[in-house]
Amino acid sequence: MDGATITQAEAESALLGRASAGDRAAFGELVRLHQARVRMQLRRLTKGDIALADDLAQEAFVQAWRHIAGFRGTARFSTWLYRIAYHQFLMHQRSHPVQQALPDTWDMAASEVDNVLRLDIEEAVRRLPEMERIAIVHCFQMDLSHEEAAAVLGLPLGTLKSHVARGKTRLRTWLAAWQAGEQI
Amino acid sequence: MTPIKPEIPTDEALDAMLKATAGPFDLADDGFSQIVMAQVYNSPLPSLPAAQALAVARQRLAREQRQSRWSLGGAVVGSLIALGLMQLPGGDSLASWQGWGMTVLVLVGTSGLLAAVMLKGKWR
Repeated sequence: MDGATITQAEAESALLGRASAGDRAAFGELVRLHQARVRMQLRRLTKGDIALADDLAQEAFVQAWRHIAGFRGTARFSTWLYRIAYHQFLMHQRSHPVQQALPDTWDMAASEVDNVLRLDIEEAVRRLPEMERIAIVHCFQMDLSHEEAAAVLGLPLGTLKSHVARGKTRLRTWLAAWQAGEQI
Repeated sequence: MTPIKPEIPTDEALDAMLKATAGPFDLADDGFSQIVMAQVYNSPLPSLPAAQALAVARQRLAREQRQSRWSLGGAVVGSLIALGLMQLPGGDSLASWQGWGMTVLVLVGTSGLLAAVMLKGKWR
């Protein structure tokens, strides 16, 4: 498995080198490799608005192409992409400050978790205050380490951990209330 | 009737529940990459942002200035050492330096210059 990981990292590094030199085909490979995670990140951030998420993801990749020469390799390429995508999301939020209604359909993933409970958690996460929601999305639903999530969101590590802790406290209370059949 | 007591999930249980909602990370491309690449092919080639290019140029200029200062400093120090040696008891005046004496002066001056060249490489 380690060998496969190293090979993948080396392949990505080679693609990055070529893309930085202006090789569009190499960049196309990078887009194919990372499109699913970036699109999923934006779907989470936009609370399941698939069309908007894909529009923002497209813009994020175009921005990544324009600035790829400035990628220094101090962080993982995926982390750099998430940061650009998050920036796109923030810019959209600033230009469209009105809260959007939740879409009727949510692309559910196959999971071993009971669907009802899963829905409750999804719903609870969506109702969290914005920064708590965004922190939990990146730390748990995007499966990033706290350090990576802090880098993506441009937050000090301690601040990120505070958002996560506050969000989790709120979630625990809500979930307990739901289990008891109460209204939030 | 016994009221239902809310059960607060433990920290570990909540972490597990949240992690279970991660993904899916295998979204089908569905033409997404093609749309992106169509825009990429219409975009100019990537280049260093102007601010970064400016910073690089400033660093280069500062490095060159440091090198000049070290070279000049080395020459001055070498000359001062040579002059100092001449002032030692038993030293001679510059005009009377001939043969091996002039060779020593040139060697001291040159070593001062070399030291300056080496230091500027080390300290930049």
